[in-house]
Amino acid sequence: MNGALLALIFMADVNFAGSIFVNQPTLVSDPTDDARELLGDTSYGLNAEANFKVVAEVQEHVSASAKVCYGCHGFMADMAYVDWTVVEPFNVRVGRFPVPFGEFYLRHDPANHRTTTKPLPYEMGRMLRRNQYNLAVLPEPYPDNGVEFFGTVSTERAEVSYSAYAVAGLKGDASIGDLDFIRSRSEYVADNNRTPAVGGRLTLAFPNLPVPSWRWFALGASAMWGHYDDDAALSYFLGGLDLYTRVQKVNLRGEVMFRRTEIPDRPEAFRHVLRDLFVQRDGFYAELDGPVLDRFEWLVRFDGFRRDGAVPTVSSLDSTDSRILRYTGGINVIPLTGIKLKLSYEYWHFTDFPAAQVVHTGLVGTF
Amino acid sequence: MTLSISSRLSTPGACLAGLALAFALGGSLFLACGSAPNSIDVRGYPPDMQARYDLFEKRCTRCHELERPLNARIGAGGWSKYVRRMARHPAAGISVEEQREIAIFLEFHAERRRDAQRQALEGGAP
Repeated sequence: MNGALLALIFMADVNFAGSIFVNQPTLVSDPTDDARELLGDTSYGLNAEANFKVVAEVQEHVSASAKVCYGCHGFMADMAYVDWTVVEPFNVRVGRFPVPFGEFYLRHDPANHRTTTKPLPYEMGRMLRRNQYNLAVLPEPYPDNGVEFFGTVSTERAEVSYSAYAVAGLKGDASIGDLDFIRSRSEYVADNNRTPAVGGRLTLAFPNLPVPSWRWFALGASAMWGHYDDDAALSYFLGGLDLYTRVQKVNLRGEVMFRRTEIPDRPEAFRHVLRDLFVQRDGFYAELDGPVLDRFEWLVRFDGFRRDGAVPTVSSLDSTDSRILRYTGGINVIPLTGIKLKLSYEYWHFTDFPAAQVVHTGLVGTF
Repeated sequence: MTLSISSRLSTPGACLAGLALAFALGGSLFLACGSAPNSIDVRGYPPDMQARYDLFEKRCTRCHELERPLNARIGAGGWSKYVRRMARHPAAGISVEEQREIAIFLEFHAERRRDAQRQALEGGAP
C-alpha cells in the first residue's frame, strides 16, 4: 500500500511539512533517589522526536497523506492514508491514520500543542512511573490501520462533526490482562486477533457565538471498543467527553475519559483478590493557555489519572486504587519564525509514591 | 530533599546552568529576531481582508498556531487546495465557503509578503 501511496504522491500536487522536538527533562526532586525508576528509560535523558509529512492532492476529491515519525521507539509510520470526499459532508479515509479519540489527537504533534508534555491520560514516554502503571488511558499518538467515515454538517449557528471507524485495534497480553503499547506499535502492523476495534466521535461546535470575544465553544464525545488479546476473548472499552472554548486568544481545553479493560480469571496472575474481572483507568485534564506580547505564550494545566483494579504480579504497585495528580505551569518563547522554546515545571503527586518535581526544557522547530 | 538531575547533569549547579543556557538561547534569539512570528498586524489591510483574517484566525488556531500557514511557502494559486486539505481533518469544521474566504486571505497575504521581499531585495541592491 505504501508503494501505491508513494506513486500517487509523485504524480500529484505535493506539500511537505514537519517538526523536530528536543526535550530535556530535569528532575529537581527525587525523594526515592532513583531517577531511572521514576523517569523510565525514555525520559531519563535528552530525548527527541521528529515528524515529516507529505500530502498530495491527487485530484479534486482525493488526497493522499504519509507521515513518518522518529521518536523514542525509532521510526514508524504515523500516517499513510487516502482521503476521498464523496460529497462535502461525507468523506472516506482508508489506510493508517490517527484514530479519532478525544480532543487532543489532532494536536499530538509537539508543534501543535503548547506544553512540553502531553496531558496525563494521553502521556507516553514522559509519564513518571509509567512502568508501574503501564501508562495511562490512551497514549497518543495512536495510529492504526483501517477505514474511517467522517464529515461535518453545518447550520447558521452550529455544526456537527462525526467520525466512525473500524481499525485493527490495540494489542495486549492476556497473561497480565492489559494492553501492551510497545507490542501495539512495534510488532507486525497487523490485527493480532482478526477482530476489528470500532469506535466513533461526535462533536457539536458553535463557531458563531453572540459575544464577539467568545470565539469558539465545542463539545465532543468519543467511544472505542475492541479486543486486545490474540484469542479475542478480552475486551477494552474507552469513553470520553471533551470541551474546547476560546475567549479572545485564550484557549480552555478539558477532557475526561476512562478505559475499562477486561482481565482474565487467573487469580495467580494478580497480587490481589479479584473483585471484578476488569481494571478501570480514569483520566482528566484542564488546560488554559494564551499568548502574551508577540513572542511569549503562557500555560497552566491540571491533570490526573486513576487506576482502579487488581494489580498484576509483575507490577510494583501496592494499591488497587492508585491516583496521580499533576500541576503544570509553563512559558514558551518564540524568538524566530519556526522556532519555539518551551519551558515548564511539573509537580507530580502520587498516592502510592512520594511526590516529584520535573522541569522540562524543550525546543521545537517547524517547517 | 534530595536533589538529583537526570541524564548527564550531576549537580544542582549544572541544572541551573542548563536552564540559564535555555533562557540565554531564547533571549539571544529573541533579541535577534525580526517581525512577530505568530500573528500579523492586518490594520493596513482592506476591511474585507481584515474580516477574512479574523475568520482564518478563529478557524485555524483550533488545531495549530497561525505561524505555520502564515509562513508556509505555498506557490501563487496553491492556497485553495491547501486549505481544502486542512478542512478535511475530522472536526476541523471549515465549510466550503469559509475555505474559499480563508484561501483568498492567504493568497493576498502571501502576495504582500512576496512584494515586501522583492522591495527589500531591490532596495538592498547597490
